[in-house]
Amino acid sequence: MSPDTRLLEIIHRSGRLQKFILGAGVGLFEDRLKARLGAKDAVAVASGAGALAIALTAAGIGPGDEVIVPAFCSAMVAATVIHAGASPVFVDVDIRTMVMDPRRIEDRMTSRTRALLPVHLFSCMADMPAIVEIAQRYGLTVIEDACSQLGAQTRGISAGLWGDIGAFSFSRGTLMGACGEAGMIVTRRPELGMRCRMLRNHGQQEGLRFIHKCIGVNSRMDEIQALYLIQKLDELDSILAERIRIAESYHRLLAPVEDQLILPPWRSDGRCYHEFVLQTAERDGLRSHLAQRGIRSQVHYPVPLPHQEAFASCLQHEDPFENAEAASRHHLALPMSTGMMDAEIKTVADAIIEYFHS
Amino acid sequence: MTSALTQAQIREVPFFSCARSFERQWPQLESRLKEVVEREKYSQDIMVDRFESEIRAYTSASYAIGVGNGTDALILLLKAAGIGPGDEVIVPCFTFVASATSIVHAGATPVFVDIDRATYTLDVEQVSARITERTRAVMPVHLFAQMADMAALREITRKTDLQIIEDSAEAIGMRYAGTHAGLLGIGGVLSFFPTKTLGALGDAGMVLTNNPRIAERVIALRDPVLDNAVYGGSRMDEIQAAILLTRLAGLDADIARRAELASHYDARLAGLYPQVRTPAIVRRRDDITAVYYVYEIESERKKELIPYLAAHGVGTEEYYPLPLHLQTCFAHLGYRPGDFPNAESACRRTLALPLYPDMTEEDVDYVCGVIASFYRSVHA
Repeated sequence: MSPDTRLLEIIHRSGRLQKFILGAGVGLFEDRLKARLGAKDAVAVASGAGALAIALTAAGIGPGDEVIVPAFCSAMVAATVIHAGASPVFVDVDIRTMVMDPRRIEDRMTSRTRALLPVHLFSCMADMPAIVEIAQRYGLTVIEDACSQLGAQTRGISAGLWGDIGAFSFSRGTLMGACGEAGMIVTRRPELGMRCRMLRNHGQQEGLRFIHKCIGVNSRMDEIQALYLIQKLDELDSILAERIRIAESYHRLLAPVEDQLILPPWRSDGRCYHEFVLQTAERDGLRSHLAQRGIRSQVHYPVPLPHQEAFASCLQHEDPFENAEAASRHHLALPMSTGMMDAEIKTVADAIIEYFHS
Repeated sequence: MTSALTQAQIREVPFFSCARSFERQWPQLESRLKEVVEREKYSQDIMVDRFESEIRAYTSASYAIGVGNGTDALILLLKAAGIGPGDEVIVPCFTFVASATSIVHAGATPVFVDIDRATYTLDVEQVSARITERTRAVMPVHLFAQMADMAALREITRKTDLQIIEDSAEAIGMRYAGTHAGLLGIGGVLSFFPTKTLGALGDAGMVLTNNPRIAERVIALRDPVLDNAVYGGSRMDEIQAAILLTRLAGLDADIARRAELASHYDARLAGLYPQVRTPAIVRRRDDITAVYYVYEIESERKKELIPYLAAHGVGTEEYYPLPLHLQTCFAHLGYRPGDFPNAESACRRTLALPLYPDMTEEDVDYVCGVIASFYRSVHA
């Protein structure tokens, strides 16, 4: 039975047993994920954004601090830094992988820089060995936004665990989508995990009701979500394999027009195909060509963060964010869903080839 | 302390359970859930829309905006009302912590005020003394069974040009002069935490307002994509909305049942006065509607009574063991023990007994019997 058919059973059981929030199911899911990823602690929260916000606060990021953030990613990332009281400082991304370029980090550092916040995006982890090396050299904290990259590893270490603390999302669009809002914080530092446990539940020490040690938030995972996600976790390996199958097909089928596209690099280390995203200067033309053939493609981040009104007051630099600007103009996410048939993949690839050959 | 009851006489009365009514409502709920599963939309979709519209009808609010939980609802409401850095908001110090932490999350500073000893809601007479040139709003908290003295508070805020932002998280069904809680100032909130009068099976919350500009801001703030200036947004799950929709149909009957059980408690505990004080509804005017969300009693011996009840199968909650001005998380605000004597005395004495529609009169009799046996044993 798939988790969705079991969902009603899960809800019925929660109602019958009167288990609501942060109960035994949440504990079990935390343990399962901790074991799978090799984390010291895993703390279940209400959303990916909640996970990132709590991770920043737990890591001691606050007013006066600067956090280095990629110029191309979800606005939520920079907004979370601002919400923590700190300032996002944008760095450009790698032209090919569209994730934080470690070679640009040192130029952006000031005496106020406290943390690096790489965001693993689409199908690529940021270059964590290089980023962690810089962080160690300058005594910076590394907070990983691994929201969409559950299952990715670099050199055998999971996304989220290269740095001090990492955030995952189980929003519906992710590889392991919940049946509502849910997220998870992972860390290799137990003391950070303890802090997150207090922060997620109103600053209460676990087991001590209505005694508030610190200013916390309400970001807790429901039992229904945890029980559902435990079932989904069993499917994660097959979902990941399925994604690789689809990505492989795209790579193979798009070979004839490879020189007109920037495709994600084809290797398995540091990869997790949440999305298959190509880049082309003719993005908008290609997109409408696909739409005419009934193929839905997506543009996720049309404007780099430094150019958005919401971040106009953030510290800016004179250098342009060339690669982030190009990625914003050029990226296009192709259809990718579990169970996608070879014929469907071929239809998409054929339409793309047709566009470039005409 | 030895138990006056044998093991066989012990009856489990949890602090809260809606297991029985859940089973009864399951067929209706199941068909709504099937609709959710079929649509494969699990966050803020048609069920949330429908629930919002039902709550608008129930409360007569112009806007009812579903969010992830009651705390987020308060944060979003404060932000939408323009509360931010440099501002002060007056809030009672005897309440759930979120009343005050939400003010901190909006960037402002909570300024605590003591409570009225009878109703546990803010002492309106003390509000004026706390107003400074930075005060922007007052946040009354409608606690347990009744609303704050809104007429008196409005008198003050009208004169001083302050906003009223209501923490009405516990106050579904409560009305003041015919107006539902949350709608007497610029806006209010509802919490659907599972043990609430209208509870979900997980976290969920809502903002209530009649003000279109506030509503527009809250709608932008809850969205994870639309409003870049706020992190992450806050959305209600479709599953929770389906549960709440199903329960809402029986809300008035639930409220009536709670009142019956409360008066049953009152009668059964009357003989234990003054060792046990039962809650008092203060009727400053005729047209107020109280709702027994919590049955809060007071006992000088609560620290012994709580474990005694637990040993006899009875769950309790301590609303609240420590007032906010003495919590570690607000130590930086510089308050001292003795600053708010009413709140401090309430914290030494108050505890909440089980109260929910699934309880029977026999459950109430049993709880009261255990309390009576506790007092017999301490006086023996």
